[in-house]
Amino acid sequence: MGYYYFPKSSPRAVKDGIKVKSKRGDIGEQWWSKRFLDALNRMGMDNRLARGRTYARKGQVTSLVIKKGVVHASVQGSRPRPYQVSIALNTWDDKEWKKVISEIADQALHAASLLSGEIPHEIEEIVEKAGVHLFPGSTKDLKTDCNCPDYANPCKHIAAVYYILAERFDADPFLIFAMRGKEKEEFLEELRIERGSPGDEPVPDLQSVDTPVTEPSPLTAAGFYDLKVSLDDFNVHPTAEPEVTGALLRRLGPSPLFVGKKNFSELIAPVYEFAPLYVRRMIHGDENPPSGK
Amino acid sequence: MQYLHACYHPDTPDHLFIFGEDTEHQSPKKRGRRPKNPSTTPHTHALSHDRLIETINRYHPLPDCIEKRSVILRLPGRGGKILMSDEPLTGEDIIFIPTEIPALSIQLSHLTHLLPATDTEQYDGIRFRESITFFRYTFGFALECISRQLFIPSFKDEQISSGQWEAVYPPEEQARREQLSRAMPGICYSFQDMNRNPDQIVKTFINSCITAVIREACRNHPLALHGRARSGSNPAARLLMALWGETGPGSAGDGSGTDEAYRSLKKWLSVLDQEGKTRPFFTGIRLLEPSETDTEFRLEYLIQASDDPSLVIPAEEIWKKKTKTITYLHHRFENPQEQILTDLYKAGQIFPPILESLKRRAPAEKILESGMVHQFLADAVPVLKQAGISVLLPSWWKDSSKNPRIRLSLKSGKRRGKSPKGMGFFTRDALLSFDWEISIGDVTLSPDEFEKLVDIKMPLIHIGGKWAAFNPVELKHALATFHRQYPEGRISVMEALRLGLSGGETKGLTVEIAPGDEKAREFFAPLLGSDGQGVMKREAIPAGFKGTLRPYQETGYNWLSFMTGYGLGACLADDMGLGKTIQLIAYLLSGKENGYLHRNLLICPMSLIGNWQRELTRFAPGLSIYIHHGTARAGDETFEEAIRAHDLVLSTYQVISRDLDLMSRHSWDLIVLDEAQNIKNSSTRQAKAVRALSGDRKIALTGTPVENRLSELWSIMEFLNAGYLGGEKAFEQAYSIPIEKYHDTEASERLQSLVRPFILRRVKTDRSIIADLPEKNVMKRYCTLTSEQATLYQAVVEGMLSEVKDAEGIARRGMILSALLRLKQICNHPDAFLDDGKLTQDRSGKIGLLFSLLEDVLAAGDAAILFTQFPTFGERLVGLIKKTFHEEVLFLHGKTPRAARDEMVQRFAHSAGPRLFLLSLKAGGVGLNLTRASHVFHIDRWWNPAVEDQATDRAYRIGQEKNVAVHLLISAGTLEERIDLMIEEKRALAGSVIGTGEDWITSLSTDELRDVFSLRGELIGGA
Repeated sequence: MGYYYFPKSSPRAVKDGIKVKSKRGDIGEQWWSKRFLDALNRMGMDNRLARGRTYARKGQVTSLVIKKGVVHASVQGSRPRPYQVSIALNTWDDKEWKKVISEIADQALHAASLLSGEIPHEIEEIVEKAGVHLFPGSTKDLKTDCNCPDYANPCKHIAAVYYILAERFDADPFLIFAMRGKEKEEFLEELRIERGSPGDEPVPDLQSVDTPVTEPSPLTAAGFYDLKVSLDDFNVHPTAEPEVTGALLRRLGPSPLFVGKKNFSELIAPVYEFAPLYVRRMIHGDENPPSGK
Repeated sequence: MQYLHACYHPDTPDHLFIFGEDTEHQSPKKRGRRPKNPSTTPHTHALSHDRLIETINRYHPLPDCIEKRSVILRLPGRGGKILMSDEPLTGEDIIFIPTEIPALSIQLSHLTHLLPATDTEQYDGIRFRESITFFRYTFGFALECISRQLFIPSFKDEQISSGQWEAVYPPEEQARREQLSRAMPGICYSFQDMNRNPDQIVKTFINSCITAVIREACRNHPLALHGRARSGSNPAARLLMALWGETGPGSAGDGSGTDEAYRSLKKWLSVLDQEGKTRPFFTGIRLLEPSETDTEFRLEYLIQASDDPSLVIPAEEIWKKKTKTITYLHHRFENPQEQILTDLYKAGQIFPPILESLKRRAPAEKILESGMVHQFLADAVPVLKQAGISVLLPSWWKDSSKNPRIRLSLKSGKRRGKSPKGMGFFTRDALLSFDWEISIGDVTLSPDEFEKLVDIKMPLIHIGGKWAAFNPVELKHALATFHRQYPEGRISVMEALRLGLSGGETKGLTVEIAPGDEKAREFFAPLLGSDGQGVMKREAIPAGFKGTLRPYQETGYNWLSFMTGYGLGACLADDMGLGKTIQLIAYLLSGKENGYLHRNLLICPMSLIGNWQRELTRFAPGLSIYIHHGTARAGDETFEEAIRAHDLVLSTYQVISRDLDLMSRHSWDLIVLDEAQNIKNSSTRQAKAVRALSGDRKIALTGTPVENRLSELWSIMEFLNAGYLGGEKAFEQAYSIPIEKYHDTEASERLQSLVRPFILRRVKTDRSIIADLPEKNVMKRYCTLTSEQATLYQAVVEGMLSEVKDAEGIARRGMILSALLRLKQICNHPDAFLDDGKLTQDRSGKIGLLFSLLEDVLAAGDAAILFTQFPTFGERLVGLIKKTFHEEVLFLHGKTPRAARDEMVQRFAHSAGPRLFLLSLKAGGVGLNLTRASHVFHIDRWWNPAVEDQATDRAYRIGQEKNVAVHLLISAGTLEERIDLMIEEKRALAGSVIGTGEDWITSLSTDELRDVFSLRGELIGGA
């Protein structure tokens, strides 16, 4: 229980620090970030890791940059100067990467899923076919450093960065691959090359720029009092029926929020029925629909 | 004239500002008080708050919640002076000047009551300018987004409590919104302090409208808000409260945990890619039907340029490119592969078979198993489109001509009762029997064959070598409903016609009417075909007709005969000046000669009786006319006899409603309504009276664009073909409100196709009509004197005759000329002679006629110039026109200063400027170009063609693209008519030669004078 060795100290408060979203319970929403933290826990870090959670929630991490397999972060502890933390995963070598890319490119679905912000569950298996692992398997796979006086690894500061990192993985699955040495752009490009037929020459770029309507438009005498372009062919059908009922909510799926046991999405669903009905009644007479009692 | 405009500022998103200007009144200069904002230039013609309220209330009661505000706008001006909105904005020196203007701020939720009522471009002297039109369209678009469920929750700023609703734009809707943004008039957003980004402004407006309307809807459904939300105890509850527009305990500020909740909601909503960014290309999915060698449908993946939908590149080609960016035909595509993958992944969530296809290295297509095709078409396609994926379908899908239709072969069945004389079996009430079959494209299926297909339950059928969509269940259901509606295979002629025209109202089943026999073909082909009048039987021109029909008039004459021959009421709605009268007279005469029109009634406004009488005598001298009008008109005992003794009974709307008891006891072969817009208000006594008359044939004449004035259309159609358009209330709900208030084009098209065969309207600008018409179409318009006018007239004539008896030379000449002048004044209006300052419409037959003509001119949106010789009368006339029509009238006379004259001419030339221009004949010197006018009225006569032509030519000049209608107003039975006839016939009176001008009149003998001046003929006194 070495960490009782140090006098209890509380970290200095940070303004605008990087906070994790989760205020309670687990950090990391997606299976892959959970899997990442899980992998760390399995290395026997679980107790030490927990110490970083409060730091991560309070926003003690003041900066975090991920570059080619290394995370550099500053974490505000009890001392005035933030500690410098770095975490690195072992990167895959070119041969390994080539294999991984080839395996992933085998099904366009994998890239499609990654691009849509999801890591397919099969990914670990696929990567293993190339003879490597996506998530760290042992402490050998990790190289960490912090300039705090705590000799324990991970210290609170490193642990806090793990949590922030896990949440970054939630938002951008490509970051896990970046930790293995290939950034998103490069990764995508190699997938693209793998996908394409051999021997294709890059096409030189041509410029084509149209003025979008979103540009501010200056006042002109023409079209000041009159329509700038005729709207004669602009047809409105205010009581048109939806092509498919409830399509938007279906596409959105259940919302992350609840009131009691009811999902938010379920609670707004009635609006999609009575608002169109209200418009119809407004237009087809009966301007003041009776209010339900 | 008052112009109303609207503008919108995203900083006050829940309100629309309405403001206006008045062409005549200037706001009084404020004394002693400095303007609130010294840096702005005052707009002297701006309407004050109170006048704005008064003006708007005139056409629609304002809601209570309006607020008096002022807006600082930059308006176009010149030389430090703000220009009126109807002044031409040309020239280099136009600058935009900051101006503070009183405005009314109206909550968007109240626009539902206010904006839509502005459909009529002009109302009672108020003109709604295009900025208001613009917001009306955009508001309608916002309502459409609600109806089509294209909205989601969003946040005004980054917190839960700012929850609102916002529109979601699938690609087509995005294009429509951008179309609006491009069209938005500058004045809508010419605020001094605004970053003018039209699309952003339009988006904010639409979202604010959607939010306002939905909240209003929520207020009407209080139960829909989940009970526990009211406590507002968690972020989701708080957001619900905001979306419902309610305040609760938690709505004051954001509590704990809301930041996180906000972010997770944002992420949840981000699936829909709500940033509204314009994408240069879309991922597309194309459905390919089986080729000749295989049997399966395929989905092909591709990208499609958003600015050129015809530019598509198959995914197969895209996968071959290794670069991040590719260009193709000058189009640049960034990250196309990644875009396709992301979109196909999204598409796969909507239609799982797509996901399946992605398990390949470079997926280019998906082969669909047979059951999937319909699921794809019916369920997935609309959702895919909404998700921003472009779906390309074979042309047969949504090709309505390939939709299954029920085809009815109609045959003569039994008829109820006896058909009126001169009509065959097919009259509106006859019952037809029918056989049915189903037709798909050009293939038809018998009921048996159809049954078999339905049993296979295939959603797509391959028929006649082509694919067609087919929904057996829905179709079977629709068919059952149809048979319930028309049991025993019987349908009435009118109902069949209505189904044939509207395509049927049973959902999912279009009705096609096919003639089963020759009789049915003769009836239905002209009514349902596109070239109706072209295939109508040609009638011989009646022998007794004294005149020539121009080709289009002959068409109208044939059409009237055709329609009424089947008992269908017909509305002849040709533009004024195209000769509705002559077409009707030819028809009337033909009916008489062919022995089916004996008892005929023509109802017109009082002011037109004289004209009808003259025209009938001129073109059909063989027709005897009984004028049922005045105190001596026929009563109970004599009326039947009068009908029998005459070919036509001529009466007025007022008399008909007064004598309704008498009139409705008699039956008619033909009832004609002239100026049928007189019954535009269906609830008036006149309209009710006219509908109570019973006639076998009915015709309505009107010069107003009746198809666009819906309550008028209903009322006239109800007279012509009772019941055809349904009850008035139902009609309002199905058509008037959606069309007039919300610009519902679909409802409008439905209605147009229903009424199309019943209305024949040719306009002066039709190419074919222009070719038929002389460029200058001179028409004599006859009116009668009121009894007051007649009395005065007689007195002046008597006085003059007794004076000139003993006078000679210059004195005699002077007396005659002065009498001539006075008589002309009396013909114009008693006030022009008496100068009693009471210029009213009912005292003069001529003013009555002029006003009923002007009504048509204004209704058709035309402009007119009017000439008179009498400036004082002119000035009073201007006042009366303004009072009656709420139209600004420009008035130019001998004393108008040069500068004012130029300004008037310029304003009249502007398409939004005043539409009526009165000139005193002498003052309107040469050099005036008034070619905007398509009508010229000579209120009084000069009898000098050279002078009159010179005046007329101000409207008719080179460069005039329209034909000009010239109306010469003539008081029947007076010297106006006599002299006109004499000049026309070039008839020499004993001892004098008739020349042009008026001098020759002074050389007439006293007896000749008596002959020319005395009042003659039947008189219609004022009612």
